Amino acid sequence: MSHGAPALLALLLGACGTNRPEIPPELLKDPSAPTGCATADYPAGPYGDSADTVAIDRCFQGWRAPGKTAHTAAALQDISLGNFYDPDGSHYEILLLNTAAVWCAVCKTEHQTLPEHYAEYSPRGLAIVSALFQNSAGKPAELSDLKTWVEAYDVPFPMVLDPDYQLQDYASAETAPLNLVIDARSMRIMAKFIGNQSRDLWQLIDDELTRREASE
Amino acid sequence: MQKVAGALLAALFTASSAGAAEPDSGGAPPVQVELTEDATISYAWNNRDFAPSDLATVVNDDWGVWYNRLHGQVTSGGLRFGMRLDNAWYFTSPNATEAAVTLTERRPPTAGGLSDPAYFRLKLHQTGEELSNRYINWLYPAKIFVGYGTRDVEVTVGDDYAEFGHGIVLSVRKHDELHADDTIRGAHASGRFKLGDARIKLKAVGGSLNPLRIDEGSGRYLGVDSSVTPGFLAITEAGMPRAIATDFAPRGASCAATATCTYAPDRVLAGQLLLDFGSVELGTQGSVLFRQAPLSPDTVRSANRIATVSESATLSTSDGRGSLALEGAGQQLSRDDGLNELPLGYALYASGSYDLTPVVLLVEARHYRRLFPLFANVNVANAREFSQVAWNAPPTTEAPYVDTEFGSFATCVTGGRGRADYLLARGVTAFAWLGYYQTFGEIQANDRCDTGPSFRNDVYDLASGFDLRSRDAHSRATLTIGARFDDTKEAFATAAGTTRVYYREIYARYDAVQPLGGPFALELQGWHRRRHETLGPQLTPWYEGENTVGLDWGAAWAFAFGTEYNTDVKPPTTYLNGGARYRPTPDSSIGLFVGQRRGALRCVGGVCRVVPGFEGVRLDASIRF
Repeated sequence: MSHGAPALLALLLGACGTNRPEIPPELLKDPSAPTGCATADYPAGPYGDSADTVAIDRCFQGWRAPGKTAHTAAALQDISLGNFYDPDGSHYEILLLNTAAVWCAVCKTEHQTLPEHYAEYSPRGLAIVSALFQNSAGKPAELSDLKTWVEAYDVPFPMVLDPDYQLQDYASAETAPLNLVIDARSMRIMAKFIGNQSRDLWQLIDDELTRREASE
Repeated sequence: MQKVAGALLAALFTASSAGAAEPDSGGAPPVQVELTEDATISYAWNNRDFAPSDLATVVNDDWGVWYNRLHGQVTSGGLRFGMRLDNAWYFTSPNATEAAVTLTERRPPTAGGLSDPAYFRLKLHQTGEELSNRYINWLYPAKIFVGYGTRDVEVTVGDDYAEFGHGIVLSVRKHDELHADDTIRGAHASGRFKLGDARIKLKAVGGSLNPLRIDEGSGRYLGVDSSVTPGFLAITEAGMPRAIATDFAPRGASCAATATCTYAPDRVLAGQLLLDFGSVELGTQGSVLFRQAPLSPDTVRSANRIATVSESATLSTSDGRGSLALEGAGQQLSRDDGLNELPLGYALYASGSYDLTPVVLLVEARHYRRLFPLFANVNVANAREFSQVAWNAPPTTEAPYVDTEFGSFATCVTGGRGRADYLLARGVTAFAWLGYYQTFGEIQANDRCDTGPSFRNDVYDLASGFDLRSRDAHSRATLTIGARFDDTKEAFATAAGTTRVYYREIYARYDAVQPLGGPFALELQGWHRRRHETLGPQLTPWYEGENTVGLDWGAAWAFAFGTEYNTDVKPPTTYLNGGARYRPTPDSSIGLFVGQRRGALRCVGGVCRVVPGFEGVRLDASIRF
């Protein structure tokens, strides 16, 4: 075995080579943001994906009020996290950023009760944005998936498509759903919940809204 | 760390030499040295699971590892010292830039999406972070212990297993089928003595919980940093894989703010007292889990302390034909912030069997309310492969292979299973079982364990089959046909309208060995399932299963050819594989696997792990000296 080991190592090392990938020049151009999404006064970083960092201002297309909008491509609007940035809390105190996928049973379970929670907490300053990112086959979600979803679950809050899976910043697809609780006054991440952690999630939101109401 | 490991290795080999040269000098107890070398060399190529924009499906291709486990144990009289050194060396692994380019090139047309340069940068960053705790080379002391034992007393300092009662209170052990090997690194003591007619056994354990730090299937590792290793944890975590800083995952102010810091070691104190009166054994056992700030807040991981205490009794009839096991447990989750306190949880478990030849009866029942799995404090977002690591394993009362307890099924459940085995003729047994469960943790998250109709699922699990054995036991076959019906009490919404059907399955399993004459024997194993999960990936049922045909050639050689399939909407649908194993001695083996294996949730007795899909070649060697 002592003679075999160096030979094996040599064989394995021999399999390694320089593996410097080439980046197509067009990908190195300055990235342009989608139009209509820039939020001029959005808080500066440091941006991150853990608690106490600022959530980066992601931009999507979706329906701001699916219950009151035709479920068509023409009715899609640009919706960014910046739309919910509210430094003085006049409209929003907390933003709940949620992800869902058509293949995800837990996401469907969660959406059975999300509208009830929204009805309870939105008058107190909660905004919810849910992002549908994959279809049943794990491919990028399309308009037809979004339409089916909002109609199946009577979604009353903004629901967007995330075909590029921008929110993979925060969690892998396999662990969906993600629930990111964001302070709308600062866009700082307050907590990140993986999976359907409804008890802790709603307790946190309730406590935080109660605390803010008491301090006013 | 490598210097330390080298010194330990040297010590191991020095001990080996000494033992060989002076096996029994001067009347001292002989020194026995055992070395076991387990090596795996694998290369994973494209496993065909690509999904646009999902980087995880790109970076699980084209990687190779030499994963080595070197176990050494030196024993002299009652004294023993052992160590297991694990190392993972990735001779090739995915590159973040290349993965981002691939994702960009294979991105489908997306209306209203990011520009290609913005998309490329997004995916480069995401991939870079994903790879920051995967495919990293490590050499670390996975297990280390020194122990002393006599007939009645045993003391171990270092790593050891512990399982109390039926696993409700504590279950830290090895599961070979799941590549899991968890231990408590600390102090273990046990003793036994007689008091009148009773034999008394005492066990106590305290230390930090030590899961294997590298997930072989994904190349992910669990990392710690100094913010989660205060006090004695600095000792138990010495030499273990650390959180690293990369361009994509810089070091944060704390473990929670560092993407590669994915484990905050849990600590445990536990004990057990057993009174053995012969046909009756009474047990009292308890554990207290001490946790740090949660890396992934949820009901269990946010609890700073979890105390679980149980009383158990095992009774057997004097003729040995009947037995009954009972256990009642209480569990309290405590949080320092006082938020979200839950009422005391509890569990009642019973298992009884009686041999009324030709009939053998088995009845198992459970009634659990707020009985939570003691999940390890891992960062689920950044180390999802370890999300199921837990320090207890309450009995499920179900067939060991059941993997269809969805959601938090077992935290709030009442039900049981009865099984009868009937000996039809010598070597021919027919069996059947029926299980019924009411669970309140499946259709909705329900940590408080409300038992209202909106939380309730009614689950029937039934199966029957035959077990055949030849007189010489060389031929044997087991065939099981089963079904599972899982309905909610109240209708729920789906894309196809409302329904109460939550899950349906029918399946067949078989396992057979038939000698073919001479040194040859044919083996056949399989599991074929028709499944329908209403809230799952698709509205219609799908089929999945596997079949393996094996040929044994004497005791030394075995060959296998396997096929797997999964017709749900996620590709791929078919998998082929083949393998060979050679055993030059009873303690040594070399195995080769080539081909494809589907990813799945694999469960053994309620302990589950997500096993990723694999496509490639794997060589396993195990040699014992």
